[in-house]
Amino acid sequence: MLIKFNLFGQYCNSWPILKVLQHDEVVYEQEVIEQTKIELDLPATHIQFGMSNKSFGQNRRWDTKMDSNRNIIADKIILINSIHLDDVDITHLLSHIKYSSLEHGPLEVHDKAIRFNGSWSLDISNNTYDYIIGVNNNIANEINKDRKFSYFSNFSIVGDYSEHHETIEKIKSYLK
Amino acid sequence: MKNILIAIPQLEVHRPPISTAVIAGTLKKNGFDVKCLDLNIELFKQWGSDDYYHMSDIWESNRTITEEETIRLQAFIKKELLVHCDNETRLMISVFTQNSHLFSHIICEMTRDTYPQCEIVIGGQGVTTKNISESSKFGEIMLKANLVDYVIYGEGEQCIIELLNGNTSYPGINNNDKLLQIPNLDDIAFPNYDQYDLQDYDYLLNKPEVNIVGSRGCVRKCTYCDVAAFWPKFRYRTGQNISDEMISQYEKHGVNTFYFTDSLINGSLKAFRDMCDKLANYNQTHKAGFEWGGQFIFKPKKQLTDDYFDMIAEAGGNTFYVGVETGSDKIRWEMDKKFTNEDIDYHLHHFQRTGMHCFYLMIIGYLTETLEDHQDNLAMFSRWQKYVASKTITGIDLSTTLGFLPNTPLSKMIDSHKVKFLAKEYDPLGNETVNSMSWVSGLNPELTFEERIRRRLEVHEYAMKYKWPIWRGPQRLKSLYNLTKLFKEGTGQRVSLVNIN
Repeated sequence: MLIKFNLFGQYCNSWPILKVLQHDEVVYEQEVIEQTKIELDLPATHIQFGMSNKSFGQNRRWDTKMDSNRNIIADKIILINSIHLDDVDITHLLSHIKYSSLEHGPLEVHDKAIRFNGSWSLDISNNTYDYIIGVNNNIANEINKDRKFSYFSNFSIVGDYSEHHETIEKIKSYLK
Repeated sequence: MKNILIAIPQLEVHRPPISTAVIAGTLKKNGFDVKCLDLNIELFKQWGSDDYYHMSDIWESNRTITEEETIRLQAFIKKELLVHCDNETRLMISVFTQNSHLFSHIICEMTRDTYPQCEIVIGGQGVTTKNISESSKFGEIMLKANLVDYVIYGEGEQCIIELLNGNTSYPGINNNDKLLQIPNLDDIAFPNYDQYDLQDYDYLLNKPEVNIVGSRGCVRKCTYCDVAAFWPKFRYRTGQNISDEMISQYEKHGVNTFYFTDSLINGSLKAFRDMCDKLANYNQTHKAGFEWGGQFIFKPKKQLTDDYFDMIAEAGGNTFYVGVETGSDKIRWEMDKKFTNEDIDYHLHHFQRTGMHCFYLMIIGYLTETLEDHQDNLAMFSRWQKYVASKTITGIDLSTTLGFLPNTPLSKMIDSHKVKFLAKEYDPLGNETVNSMSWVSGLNPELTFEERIRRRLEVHEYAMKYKWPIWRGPQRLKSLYNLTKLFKEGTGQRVSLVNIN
């Protein structure tokens, strides 16, 4: 699978590092220096990515700096312009997948900014599109839970095919 | 006379009905008063979603109505309609499809019983519906049973004015022979929603949305389609007129979302471009945020430039329904569709680039379909799965299977392709007829009825395997099940209109 990152790294003491792992093995670990485009051709399987080098007081170093009024004046952040997986933009999905932060536990990231060490984990197996569709369906089904639709409407139920399978089996048994 | 104009089930509840809104606009424009009632949305509101949708199987002829349901429906009609009627009323009923036949029948019987002098008029596409071998259309059946006084065939806007002015011999009134078509669609009044509470509807996007008609007829003559029989000539409104209507609904009701009911929205490229230009300008100056969609035709890519897609997106074009029909270029060509899988690739690429969406409309089991064509159908799902993932493709309707509609190019191939229909059924008056989907062709003997159903199911299974969103999936499979049952048993009966008290 081809994963394309379009990122912006924000400096504070040093540049942020993007770390990409597959099955706990690091497959990429590089600084994101301002506007950065990264393309990785990887096996279609489980993938994790996130920031790995932000310091929160270790060795007395803070990668977030504030003035006397507690306004942030510098911060180590990776801003996400876009992430494409096999030519499909998945940026919007990231707010629906928890970011596992080492400092704060699971987080919902709604502003496309990585502010903590940790990673998103995409549970891909073989087919990237299957994975993306699965996440999209969960979002759609959550929105339309318990709602009914007219025959003439342009709404499609997604993901749950149980009723389809049941009728298909009935038809097949009739044709035997 | 007091005019009452009603919309009835089965209609969707996600937008107000345009048919009665157009007629209301026409009547107002010509100086007639009219009371508009939407019994469909009333039923939805009063019975609640579960009970309302439980009736769908009845409207779709999958089961008969129970006595209890009949009594409940009659009480509803009495309370919501008959209280407004008397013997001085002219009751005008919009019959959208055959799924409205039973409700129409019940209303007409009750009105006749209560107010014998009430003049009853029916119109709409549903009055002309009939099966491939049926002799009578619904309108004729209702006239013969003396349940209605007038049936309006074809385009109703002019006919209804003639009828109200006493010209009952005008073509189209109780006479289907020489229908006149409105030459200039720009002359038709804009839909009038003044008597509809636009907050009543169960909008899909949780914001008001209305229908709009930009054209009538089609530029194509696809073999399976009967649009040309109803509207032989493709007519379209000017881009200016269409955008004026949309802007007027936006300024009057705050509606910025529209669904075009046209057979195809981009039949006239000139009108389509004009409309897009005007909407894009208005969007820019007024921040109206228009969103619209409808049925759309994919054209050969050599006829288009890339900026065509940007133009549509900037004007608010959002979701389009495309008769892709098959994954086989050969079959699509035989259907007279005139575009290829490569053209589809081109459209999908630009739809994804510009953030637009499409639904596929399919017909599985075409008259000449071979096993190789079937493999092409199966190959579609992996080929275009990427666009499902990007939500460029937001649904696919696999339909039931190919049926023969009257007055289509396909119906003229029945003899040359040695088509035989295998299952009988009975029309609403009890006359024997054939099921139009239960066919086999002598020229394509490998495509037996069972094989056609097997392929249809396999396509469905592939759609699920590649996680495509299947539009109307359970309903289509239910129809397929009923068709299979009918085939196995040889004879079936559609829900009868007679013997309902």
